[in-house]
Amino acid sequence: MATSKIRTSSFSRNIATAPPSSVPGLKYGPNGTIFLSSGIPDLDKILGGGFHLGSLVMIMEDTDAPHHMLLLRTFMSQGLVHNQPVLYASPVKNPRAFLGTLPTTFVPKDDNKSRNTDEQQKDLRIAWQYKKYLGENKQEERDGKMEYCNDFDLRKPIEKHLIMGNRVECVSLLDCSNLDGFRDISSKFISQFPRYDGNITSAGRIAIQSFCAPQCDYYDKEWEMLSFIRSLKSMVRSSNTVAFLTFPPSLLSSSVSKRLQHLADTLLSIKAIPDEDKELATLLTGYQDMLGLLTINKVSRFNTQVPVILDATTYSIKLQKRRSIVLECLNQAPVDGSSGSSYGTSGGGSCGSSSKTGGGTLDF
Amino acid sequence: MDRPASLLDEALGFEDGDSKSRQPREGRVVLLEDCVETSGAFVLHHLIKRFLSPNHSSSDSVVIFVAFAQPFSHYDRILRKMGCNLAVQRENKRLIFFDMLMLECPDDDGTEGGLLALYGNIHKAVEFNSLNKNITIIIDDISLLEVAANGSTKDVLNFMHYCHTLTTQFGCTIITVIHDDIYSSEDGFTLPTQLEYLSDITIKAEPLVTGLAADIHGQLTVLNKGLGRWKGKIRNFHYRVKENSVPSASNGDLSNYLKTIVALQIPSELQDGFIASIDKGKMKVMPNRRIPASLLLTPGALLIGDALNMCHPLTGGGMTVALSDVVILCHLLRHLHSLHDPYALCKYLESFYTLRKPVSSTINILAEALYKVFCASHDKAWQEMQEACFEYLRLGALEGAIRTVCPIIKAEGFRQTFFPVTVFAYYRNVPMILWLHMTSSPP
Repeated sequence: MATSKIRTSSFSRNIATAPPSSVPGLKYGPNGTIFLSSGIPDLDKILGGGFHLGSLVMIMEDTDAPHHMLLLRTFMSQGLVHNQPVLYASPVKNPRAFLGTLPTTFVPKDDNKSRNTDEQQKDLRIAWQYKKYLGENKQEERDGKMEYCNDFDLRKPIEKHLIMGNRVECVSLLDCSNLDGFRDISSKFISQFPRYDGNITSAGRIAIQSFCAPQCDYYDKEWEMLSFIRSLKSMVRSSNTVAFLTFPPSLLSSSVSKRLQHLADTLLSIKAIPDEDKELATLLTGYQDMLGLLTINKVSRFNTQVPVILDATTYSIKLQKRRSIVLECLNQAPVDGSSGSSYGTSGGGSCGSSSKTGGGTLDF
Repeated sequence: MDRPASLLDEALGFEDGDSKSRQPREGRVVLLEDCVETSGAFVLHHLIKRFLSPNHSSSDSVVIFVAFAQPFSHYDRILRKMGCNLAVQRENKRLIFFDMLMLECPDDDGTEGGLLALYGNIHKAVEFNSLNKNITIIIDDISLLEVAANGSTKDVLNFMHYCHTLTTQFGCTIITVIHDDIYSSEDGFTLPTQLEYLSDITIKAEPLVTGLAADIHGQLTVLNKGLGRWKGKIRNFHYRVKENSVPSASNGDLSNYLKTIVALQIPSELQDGFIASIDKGKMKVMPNRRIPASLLLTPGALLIGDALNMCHPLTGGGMTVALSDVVILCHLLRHLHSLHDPYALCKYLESFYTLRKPVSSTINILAEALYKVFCASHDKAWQEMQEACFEYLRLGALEGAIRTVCPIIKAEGFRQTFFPVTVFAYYRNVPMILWLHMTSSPP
């Protein structure tokens, strides 16, 4: 966390008085950083708490599928639920129309659930599948307090009063012939959330959709785009905002795409799953329910040099009960022993074929 | 992280005898290449710590840091965990930090103008510090410098060539970072190739061929074209980045460190017990700092004890200082008529800081000196001193120890405590000891 006055001794008192836990939507992270929720509980857990305040999050889109919109929607809705102003920019004529597609929070019907748990507590439980019960305990604690990360119901649109007023500022990237105008708008937005050691009252979110879309005028001005992203990153770093940006790497030259990847603090990428791919179906369990694959390429490391090595970097995006997004580890499907070929060749065959689909490395 | 650090230092040509035998004005250019999967920043932090550490070439080194990638607070926090306080170094003018995060090369001067201005600042800083000082210029990183220069590779190269002249003119060392996976799709004479040509040492950080792993974060390849016995050789290491040099207790690193490195230094009588308690898990880790007393100017508040003045716990003198401070304060405040009189209170507190000095400075110096003596060291002279101390204490059993400890309790002074030991050390050979016993007085 940037300190306006640099502490010369390790033992000087930390001046931040109000803990962010009292401010809904923010929580302390390690090394003096603060987290903001992404809107997807699984993603927060994988990233170790959420998005760092002051970081630049980038999503590499797949032009075949619009799954990055799911992440964008939950990110923006989470901000509105927590009363955090949002600046939204997109390369369409009327960006405000997108706000109607934002999901609302999911309110579970919890009468049955509480009765069940009471009964279960009376009996002796042999918790051999202990991870199931860990999840239940957490649910009970959360009543009555505003949650850090909400479950979003993608079927229902967000309540009207949350998008009314000045909470959401929309900018159309088609209007900008060069990026200076947008840079001024973002710097004005970011200046509302300066970073200092005192109380953090609010945080801001910036959501930019499809930044390098070809329909924008500045599309061929590569260095201007890079320079804008760099200045956005510096502005965000010295403020209490998180910038969330999606871009299609296949539409850019590889060097520009790599530069953008280096500029990102947290880097995720989406890969589409082709429908009815028989080979992939034999390789993975639950293939039919999967919408796409999410790969975590880089996790932001503020104030520390130790990199985060995740157990698994690729997760499958699924919709649970068609309403909320869950991320699941990939599980290899059991090899069909009834087929005549030996294990070696069938396993080798399926692994070999997976390289054809999308060319990405699936890692378990 | 002692072993890997010295392997890397060896490969870079920074051996132990470096500070004595290094030719004074030897400028070098070091290029650090990394990629998205493995960031090479940890090498940069290691080099910063090395150049700013007090042992390095009699603290005559200055680091000029041009930062495009991260703000000052980021580096400060990381290096503080490694034991180097950047904020203090910046105040002491040993670190000159140029924060270039918001640098935009202005349109009217052109990108050339912006880079020229930056070079001018660097040159001024180098000139100012050029007398008898080893100057290191660190640029983090060149790929972002290119973005700031709006993609003008020609201007960036000119800037680098200008900086290179500083190595010959002033003997500076230049360290730059570049992300070479950005340029992998280009053919021909790319920026990394040109910088590799300029540099004496190239360090490349990349993931293992098999991918990323929790135990091995990547591999470093070091090519040293210039100095030392590694001239022209390529060395390859696997590395794992740690937060700081203290091994972590949770994953068994600490017990491993204690068993393999510390246990060997302990006298053989104690080794079994030491290893047994490590196995039982009876380890407690406490941070240990040196905090000189500094005035606290908050009205109505006073610091006492370790919060005010912390020294090495070897002598157990910290409590002595705290209690003596309390006694001094009591005596002072006894004469105060009312605690609501700010003027009088301030006068008394001012005198408190002065009156506490004899006791606290004695104990601080004693603790520091004893720590230095008993610290493990490769230096022959220190080892001799250690032996002498042990033998002195061994001699008199109770007497010798008391003679050392009493002055601490009475805070009589440095000389009183160490005189018996130093005399002993000086005259420590058998004929002399016999002579001492016979005559029972030194010559």
